[in-house]
Amino acid sequence: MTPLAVTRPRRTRRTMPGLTPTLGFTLFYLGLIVLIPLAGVFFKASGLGFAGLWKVITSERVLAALSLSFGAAAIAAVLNAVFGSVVAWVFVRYEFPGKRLFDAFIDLPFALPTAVAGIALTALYSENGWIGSVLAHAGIKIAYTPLGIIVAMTFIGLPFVVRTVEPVLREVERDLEEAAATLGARRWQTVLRVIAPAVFPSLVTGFALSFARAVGEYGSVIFIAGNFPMVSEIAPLLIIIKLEEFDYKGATAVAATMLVLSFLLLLTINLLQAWVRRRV
Amino acid sequence: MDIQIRGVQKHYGSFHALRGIDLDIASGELLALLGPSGSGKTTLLRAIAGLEPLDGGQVKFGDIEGERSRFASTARSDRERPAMDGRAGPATEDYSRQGRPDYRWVDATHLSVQERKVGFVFQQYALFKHMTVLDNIAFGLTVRPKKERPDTATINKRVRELLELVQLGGLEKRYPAQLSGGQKQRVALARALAIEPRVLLLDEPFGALDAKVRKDLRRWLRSLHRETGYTTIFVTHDQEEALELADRVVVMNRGVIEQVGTTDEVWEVPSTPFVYDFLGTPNVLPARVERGALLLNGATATLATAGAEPEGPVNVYTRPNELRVVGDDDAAALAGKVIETQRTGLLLRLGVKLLSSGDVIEIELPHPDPAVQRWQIGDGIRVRPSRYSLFPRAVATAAEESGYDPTLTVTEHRARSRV
Repeated sequence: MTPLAVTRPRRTRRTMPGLTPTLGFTLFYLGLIVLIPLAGVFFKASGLGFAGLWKVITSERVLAALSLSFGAAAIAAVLNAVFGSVVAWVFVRYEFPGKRLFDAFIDLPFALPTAVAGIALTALYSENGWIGSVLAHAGIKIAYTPLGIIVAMTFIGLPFVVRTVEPVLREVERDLEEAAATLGARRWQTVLRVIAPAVFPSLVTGFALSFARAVGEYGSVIFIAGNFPMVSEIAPLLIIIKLEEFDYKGATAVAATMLVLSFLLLLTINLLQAWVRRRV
Repeated sequence: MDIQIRGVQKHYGSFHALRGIDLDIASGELLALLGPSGSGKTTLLRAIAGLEPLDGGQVKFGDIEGERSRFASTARSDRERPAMDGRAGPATEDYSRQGRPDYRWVDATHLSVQERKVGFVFQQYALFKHMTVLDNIAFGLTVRPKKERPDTATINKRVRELLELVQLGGLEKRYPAQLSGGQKQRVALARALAIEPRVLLLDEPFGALDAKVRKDLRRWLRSLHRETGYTTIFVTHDQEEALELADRVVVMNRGVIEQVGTTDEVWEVPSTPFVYDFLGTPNVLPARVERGALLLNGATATLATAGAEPEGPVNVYTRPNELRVVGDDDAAALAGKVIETQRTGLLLRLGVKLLSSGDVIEIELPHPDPAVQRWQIGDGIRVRPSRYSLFPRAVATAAEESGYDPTLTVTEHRARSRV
């Protein structure tokens, strides 16, 4: 062998130092906090076997709970996306007395214990509550129906949209709007064709966060939902019920299904976002 | 289009950004608004565009009712106004009709930005990042109301023409993020031109570009202006850029116009100490005017003057290249000592400490060929100004100390002499 062949190839230097330790730590952390517990869910659920799993998932009550959870969360996230952007717009663009106070209120759903939110909402929307009694005259029932679930999910998801859209909106340069105006664009054309596309990626993020939070929400929803099986029973509650019945495998089967569905949805949203970002 | 600006005022809170600006801009002109930051030049530009509501004064547009479309591809005007007056000459002729009986000024002060139809190029270009180059340029056409909007084929053809004009043919599918600074600048320009603006307004058009690109673009913009004949106003803080590019220069300071003139006029005959200071780095020599003659402080003989100067203390403003090295026999000269020498290309720059006052002045001499004395640090030297301007001391010092108060401008007292 020539001496040349023996020399070990020099490691190429990276411009950013510290890849190995940081990547190692990231993987370790991700594994410890996220992947191992989740793997546990799948492991436990797999005890049912494929046929057993399928049977649990396709049972009427589970299907109803899953579609309620994901459906209501989607509606709530859409509502938040629309009104959250309006709120963000107002906060970024206008000055009004008490703005800072309102600004602080927006974050309350982050901080409030969810049970408190649930009890407060139930008190408001039940048939003898302030809002519920008014709506009852109109024949609309909110508490103890799927509508109530949507109200609770909207409440807890609002800050996600506001807080992700707000900074991006703030960064949409005034220049862009002025440029559009000098080119003859009316106000609505500027909003639609210049501002909205710039804000869209962050709006998708806000939507995804709000949606994810709503799907997993338990505390505030169970108070207002009424929890009638097949009607207003959300999937997380069903998991608890199964646990209380010592049906651990059934509980994990539902949990695993929620996990997979959530993961697929978030993945889709991320891909959509990557696609949008590439064009911006 | 001709523009008339009368008594324009603008405040930002307690900051008085424009203090009664009067300015006339002629159709087809290439005009520079030159001044330091905070001088109000950008505010004035934005006021013309309608982007800044005014606190007072008027902006008038000349004869916008009789205007015609410049580009054949969107020349709906050809059909709609069938040879109204037989005007068919080049674009510039269309707008220079001032004085004709049907010429009319339109008060644009309360016209909206959209109605003013100005082409504005922003300092940071303000391109729409999510749109291709093509969509960016077409934007001004696609937002038109349906009945005024050209069809897609016409728009595309028009965009291609503009891309050729700004020398970016073939880049229509790119996104702004994929363009260099100079290319972005040209896309912004093409986008502004697409609406056939009445006037082209450019805010620091070369500010964000590196030196080489800046030079090329400057030359290119000059020739573009020659080709298209658009009335063009640009803002700059770079005196070299203003002098090289513009037909006329408006020098602004602290919300007022210090001087308006052709590039030659503002360079040769600066009307205030501020203009002198801003265009180059003049030496300021204290002196006295006595019986119509100028005596530099420290000299023993007087210099002849034009004879119109008021008696008393004055400051002599003279540029480094306007100082001459003279022999010992010249009693009107100042004696000094060379304390610094620096060779830059064709010039030898000397720092000279005056014996009389201890002040350091700067002299520029043509490249020292062997015939000229090779100046060394420590050499004695005698200099006298060959060209200079006089400003009464009180005015000049007040200008320096207070950051210049325009009410003290005494143009009629200034004098310029050539020896």
